[in-house]
Amino acid sequence: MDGINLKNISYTYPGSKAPVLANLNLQVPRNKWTTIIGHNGSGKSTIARLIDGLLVPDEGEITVNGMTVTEENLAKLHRQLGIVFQNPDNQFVGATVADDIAFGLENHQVPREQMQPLIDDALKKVGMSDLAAAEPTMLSGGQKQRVAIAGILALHPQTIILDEATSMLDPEGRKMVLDLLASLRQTEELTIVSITHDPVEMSMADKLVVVDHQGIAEEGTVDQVLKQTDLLRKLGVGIPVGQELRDYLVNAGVEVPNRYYSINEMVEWLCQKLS
Amino acid sequence: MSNAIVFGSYVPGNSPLHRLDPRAKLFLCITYVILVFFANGLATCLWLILALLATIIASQVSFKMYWRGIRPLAWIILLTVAFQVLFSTGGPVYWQWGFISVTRDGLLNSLIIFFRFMVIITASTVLTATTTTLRIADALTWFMQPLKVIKVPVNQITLMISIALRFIPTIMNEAVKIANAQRSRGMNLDEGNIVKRLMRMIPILIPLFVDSFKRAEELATAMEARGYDPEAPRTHYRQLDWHGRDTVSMVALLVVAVVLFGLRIFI
Amino acid sequence: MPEIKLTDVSFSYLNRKEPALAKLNLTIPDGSFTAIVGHTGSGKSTLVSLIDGLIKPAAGTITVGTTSVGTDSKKTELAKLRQHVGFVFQFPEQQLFAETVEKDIAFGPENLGWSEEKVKAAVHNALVQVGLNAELASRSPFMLSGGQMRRVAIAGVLAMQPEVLILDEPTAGLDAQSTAQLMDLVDHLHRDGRTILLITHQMEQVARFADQVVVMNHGRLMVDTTPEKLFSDSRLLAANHLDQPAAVRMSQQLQEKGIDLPLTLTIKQLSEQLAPRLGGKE
Repeated sequence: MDGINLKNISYTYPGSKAPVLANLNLQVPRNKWTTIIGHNGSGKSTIARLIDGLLVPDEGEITVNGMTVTEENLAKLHRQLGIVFQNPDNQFVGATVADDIAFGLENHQVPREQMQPLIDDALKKVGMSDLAAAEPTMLSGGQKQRVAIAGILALHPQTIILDEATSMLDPEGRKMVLDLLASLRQTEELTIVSITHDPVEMSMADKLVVVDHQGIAEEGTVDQVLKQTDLLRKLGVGIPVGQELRDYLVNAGVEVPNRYYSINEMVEWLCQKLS
Repeated sequence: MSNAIVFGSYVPGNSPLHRLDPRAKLFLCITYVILVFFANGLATCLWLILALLATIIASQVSFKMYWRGIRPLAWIILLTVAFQVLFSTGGPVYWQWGFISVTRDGLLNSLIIFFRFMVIITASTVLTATTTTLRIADALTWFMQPLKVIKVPVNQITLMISIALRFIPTIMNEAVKIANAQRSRGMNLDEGNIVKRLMRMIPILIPLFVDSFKRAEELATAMEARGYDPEAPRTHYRQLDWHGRDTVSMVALLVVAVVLFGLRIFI
Repeated sequence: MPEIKLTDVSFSYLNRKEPALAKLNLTIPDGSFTAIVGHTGSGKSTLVSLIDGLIKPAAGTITVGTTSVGTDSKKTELAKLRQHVGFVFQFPEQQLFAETVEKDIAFGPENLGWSEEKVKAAVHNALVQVGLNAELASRSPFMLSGGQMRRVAIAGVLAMQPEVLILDEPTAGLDAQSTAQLMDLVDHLHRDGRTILLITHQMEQVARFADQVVVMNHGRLMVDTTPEKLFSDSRLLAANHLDQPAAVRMSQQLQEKGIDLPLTLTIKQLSEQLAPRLGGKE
């Protein structure tokens, strides 16, 4: 079966009484961008770690493009699925950019002759060819995250998971990473799973999933989910600006259709109404 | 910034010495240090100083930079020399006060110790000024390979060393930040005796440990996600290439050694 | 109450050619809410470290209230600045160290040499200010959630009752709800009469809270102005890699489409402008 499938997944952290996820079912379509949102501690990151085999579910089964996630399949799995974590510093293993990208290749025993072209190619894809010899202290957070993405791309993966990968970056770095992902989804065949609080990142997805109370509280297209501003507020995630304005206007007694508005759509609607 | 403080000495450049294979340089440096202990007279000492001067010139790094490398150690050198002058005895006595005396042997010994200190420090500075820590680590890895035979996990150790080197600047920055945060809360590191000063380090050290453990944990997860398995074989990206110039440097070393022993025997 | 004044201040870090700050002149009036913006490495952190006396200027003088420091000031004089100024560092939860929340918050006041009762009262007040339950006082700070840890760290600075409060990206890494709560706290502290210096990348925060904004770029002060003036100057924003707040962008887009509208800084202001014209309440 294609894409990522989680069936009846339950997981309890060691030492914790209540399960963080109970009987969770989730389908992530192949070559689409799926974003998972939810308040802190709702189990979003747990899902990412379960998919990647870093945690083992107490119950249930996970398949990634038809392959069951088990201890035996881990090496194969890690070759076709990469995670970008939150802290740019704590996933940079190599002494230089090129060394860091090589780290994954070395682990998967790619012969040395094949490495250089793979590294060059991956650096080109993330726009960092000039910085191959740079040391991590010379790089910004956004650049380090792009190196992390290059390290995954070098292995020609099918799936990239971003676990709050933009949350520690400044706006410039965040934009850098999101622009890169937006262009990669055009040029590569990639399944993207992102976990985020950022309204801009949310609005880029094909499918949005809300995790709450140990399971899926809501799922659907960006339009379907992001118009539910009460739900977003309850989750503590950011409200897209167009929706925030809509809420204020509705509270002031203005009649605004109940749908999702991006900033441009909101401006358009206002222009129609006002002119 | 902090990188420069810890390994203050790498000076970027493209001199013949910079281009030399790090294994060659490490071997040259270690052998030279051993040779220093065989210098016993004026001629041998001068010969080794001459050889060192030649490498300094070949490194194309200014003498000022070398002086910066030696300067922090000047006190230790002076103390050791003074100790030798005042407390070692033998030969004619020039001056005496209680059990402190200045004798001919004392002066000679201190001169030799001064010489050894200076050339050994300068020689290692030549190595670190022309070789990044990363390349030195590569060379160490290579020299450690034979230990695999006796089941030493050489690859794990060297990966560990390279990760440690990679994180030193990060953790140094963190330490500066935490120290500033606590100073901002009124902590004063500059007053009181040494015990009090050490006690005052606790508000810096505890957060630093907590932070480093958290980093280590996250790093371990990230490494696992990137397919690292300490038990599994890995290929290697970084490789060292031995060139003709490296062989030439070995021959030069041999010449230095032969002349040194020649001088010892015949003069 | 202190006014902050920097006159011809320069600063350079060791081993770096470019000065971190060059010939900076700046006055921050008492009781103002000043935002300091600029890209990473523009000199924002250096600027506030100088105001807090953590580093000594290479040239020029810094005055906070009646305390002045210059190039030949001693360490004790620099430390005097810190008695007026509180500094909440980026990710302040990383500086927690004591066994209990109470002891950690008390660290600053104790360093000031306050009496036991005064320290106790200050700790209690600080906990209330940041909205933490008094029951947490005896817990280990390391057992708290990330958001709670950050509030404990901020309480540790507030307990010293600084007249000037510096905050370096206080909401970095927080979710939307915690961000809103924290900014409300900062706003409240400002209304209480404290001078606030906020380093931020979030232009929405500048638009909503600041009355003065200082733009830094490559160690130089580019402009010292009001949020209204800064955000209406799109060329200045672009030259310093700064974004427009969404509300400003939307009101400009509407202006371009021929709708007569003043520049609005926040979504709330925009809605107040638009609602009456769309048949809603004032």
